Amino acid sequence: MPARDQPRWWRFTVRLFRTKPLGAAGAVVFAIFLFSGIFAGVLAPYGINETDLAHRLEPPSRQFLLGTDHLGRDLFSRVLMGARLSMIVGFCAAALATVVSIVIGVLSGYLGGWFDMLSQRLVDAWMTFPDLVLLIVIVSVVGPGITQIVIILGLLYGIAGSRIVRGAVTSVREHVYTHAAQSVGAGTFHILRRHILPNVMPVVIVLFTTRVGAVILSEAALSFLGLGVPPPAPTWGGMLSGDGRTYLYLGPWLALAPGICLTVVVYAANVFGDALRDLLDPRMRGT
Amino acid sequence: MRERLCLVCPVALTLLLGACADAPPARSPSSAGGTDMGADLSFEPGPAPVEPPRYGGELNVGTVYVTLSALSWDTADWNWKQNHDTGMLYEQLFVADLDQAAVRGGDQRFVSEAYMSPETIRGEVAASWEWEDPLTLVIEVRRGMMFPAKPAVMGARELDAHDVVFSYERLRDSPKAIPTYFDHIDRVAARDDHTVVFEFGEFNAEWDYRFGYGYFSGIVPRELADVDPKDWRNVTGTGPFSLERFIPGNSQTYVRRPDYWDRTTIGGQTYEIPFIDKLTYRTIKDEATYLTAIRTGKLDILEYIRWIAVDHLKKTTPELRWSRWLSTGGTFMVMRVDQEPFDDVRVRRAINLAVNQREIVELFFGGNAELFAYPQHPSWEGYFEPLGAMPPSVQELFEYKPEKARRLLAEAGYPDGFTFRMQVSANNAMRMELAPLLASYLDRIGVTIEIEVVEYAAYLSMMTTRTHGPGYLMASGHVNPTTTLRKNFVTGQTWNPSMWSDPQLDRRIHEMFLTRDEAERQRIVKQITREMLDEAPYLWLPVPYIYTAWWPWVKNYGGELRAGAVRPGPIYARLWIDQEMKREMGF
Repeated sequence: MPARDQPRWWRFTVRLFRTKPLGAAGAVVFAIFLFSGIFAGVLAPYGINETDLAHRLEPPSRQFLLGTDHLGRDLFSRVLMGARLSMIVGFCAAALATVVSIVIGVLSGYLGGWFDMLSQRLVDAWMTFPDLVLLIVIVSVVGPGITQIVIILGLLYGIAGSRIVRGAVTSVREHVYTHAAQSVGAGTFHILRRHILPNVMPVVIVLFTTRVGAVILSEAALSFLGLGVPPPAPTWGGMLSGDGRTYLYLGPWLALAPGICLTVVVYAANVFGDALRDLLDPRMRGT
Repeated sequence: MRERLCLVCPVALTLLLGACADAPPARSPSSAGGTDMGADLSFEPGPAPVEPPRYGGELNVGTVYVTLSALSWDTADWNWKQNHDTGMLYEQLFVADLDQAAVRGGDQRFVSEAYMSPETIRGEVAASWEWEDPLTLVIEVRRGMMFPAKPAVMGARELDAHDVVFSYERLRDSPKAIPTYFDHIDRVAARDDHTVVFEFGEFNAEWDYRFGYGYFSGIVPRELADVDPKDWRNVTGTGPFSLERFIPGNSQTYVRRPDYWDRTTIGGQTYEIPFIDKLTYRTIKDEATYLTAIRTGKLDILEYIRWIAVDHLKKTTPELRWSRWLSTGGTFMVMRVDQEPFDDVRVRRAINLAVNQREIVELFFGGNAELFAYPQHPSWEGYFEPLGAMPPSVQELFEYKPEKARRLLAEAGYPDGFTFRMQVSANNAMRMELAPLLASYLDRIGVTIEIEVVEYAAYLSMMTTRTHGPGYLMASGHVNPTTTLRKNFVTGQTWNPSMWSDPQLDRRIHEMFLTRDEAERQRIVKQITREMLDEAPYLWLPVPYIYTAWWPWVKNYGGELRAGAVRPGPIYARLWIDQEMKREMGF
């Protein structure tokens, strides 16, 4: 089949693998974790909260691929379920962040004037607070839980990310096709939907992918501080924090397994995001 | 290839590290079996010290409550931890006679949280005391105990009887006072500047504890009425140390008072105390961090070490000195009897039967726990009865019978189980680990626990304001053989988290306090204890052994923990630092 007859997504994928092999590898690794998370219930050989004190702190073996923790729970099963939680939080919060970024960024960038000035000063003020401090304060007030964390991380990254979307919109707003649409009397909503949004989508996609990694890391940080998803849910950050540190000498695998997963998935998400940015942003071509 | 490496490397690395890890600690031989045969309360009395003490140096301590900062500086808050933080400033009528400590050739350990037999008590603020009649206690206040000058609070002056009266009335009139606590006292008055008279309306078996050496017994200056008593900068007392600095969540620093009145005798010679210039409580919330702090000499004493860390510490830091003690607080899951489903004793018993306590002792605690040691402590001779002496229905509660648990739940109308909320404080690693373990056990009988992890101040507040959930995983001190019954089971008591309420039981406990004859009192205590165990308002969990470690340069110290109710202050005033040895050891 001639290349031009192949679907667009296929051509893009081939281009990704040919020109950005590291990013492609990141995508593959990320996909593996994603599917592991989705099918954790099937793949996990043991129940995630199934304790068996007779097998506590057993090192990795055939029976327990990644060993067991201090309560005799299978670490492999818990890491898999941790992948699910990380992916749920990562995707949901990144999606929310993206929507928030689009709404604020597109309106601010296109409308300009007092709305732009006001919203961007608020964004400035928001960005002056260190992320982690804000997270700790808000979670301390509203309490830990998946829903709360998704909303908080979504808003946190969404508001900060709106600056990037706004930058792209202010550029697209000055393009000839936008002026043409305005001159023929197209409505604001129509212009935003048909002309602005499609042209800032590459930026939005890249923003989304990089946010997934950042959100997973933030959730892990919160769980590490005891403010994440409550136990006995097996989050990677939580596994690193409590048992991972307490039993570091007796069972280093307790910290190592979630730690490596966290590192790999965040790295994978980031290199994939970088590759997408390079491929989707015309200015980056050839760099 | 890269993807394959990504997956293979972590597994290979974990396998490698698994091979390198320390072997899991061996089970303690002394209590192997986690039995009800009797707790291991043994200790080795040390030889009386002969080295002449030296003055100076700073002592850094991770106390029994190393994860908790001071919760309140105001005695009127009736906060349980107050004594621990102010016990080196505020003195009390009575204190432990630390000359009887094993390290000084005596036969006492002084680890008990708040129980001292009459022969181990001496006067602190009280120079002497006598019963004028069966209900009138006359206390002569010691002369020469000085409050130091404290800018914006008070000038230096001698403590007198009016301070004792003021301290008592301040506690009594506080809206946060524990109900019934001072009901036995009709009046406290100063007969003259150095004589206080306690007029009792009725006898109370705990008279020496309640306002003598108990949790709420600190003698504060009258001037406190004119300043903010909650501000740590205003805290001042006649004790061996002054509070120099308080950084919440980080440290509390106390400095030596050169004009302190008390003395200690070492090798037949009398010495002024305290020996150390500075005492610092380090607050370290993370277990791995405080273990590292003792290993690296950042802490001179760490009073609370779980068994799991002991083998590794002994291997990496063989110089440390050790003591082992059975925890003086019970660990249990409270079931609120004023709420469904725990208002049904069948449900409460089912919860007890669903948890394999012996497995927890053997495997979770590695044998370093006693199956049955609450609400009475095994060290309380005459009051404690081993599990084997309990009625069969009580003994059954410590057996693992999940089938019967399911049956009881079905009988109570919960054939499919139920879900309940349980709060646990993030400040204690052991309870944080026990929570999912309990959830797993109960899951096997269809009961789901929704674990809610709460920061300690909020967690404590939930209990005191009665907003805690149907389940509440906690530790509570044994205190003493009579208080443990009063605080856990008398209607309306602050530390009655199951909300147990039985007017008849309240009357019986009151009668217990009125009983002067100790043998009769012991009989009543045993009877009530048996009955309350049988009612299962708590899921009674094993009580662990705890380890205390200190560096050899800490002298005149043998692991004593309390000289009053959770009050270590006088202990720290008597130990000294061999700074030369510390330097020679590279610290």
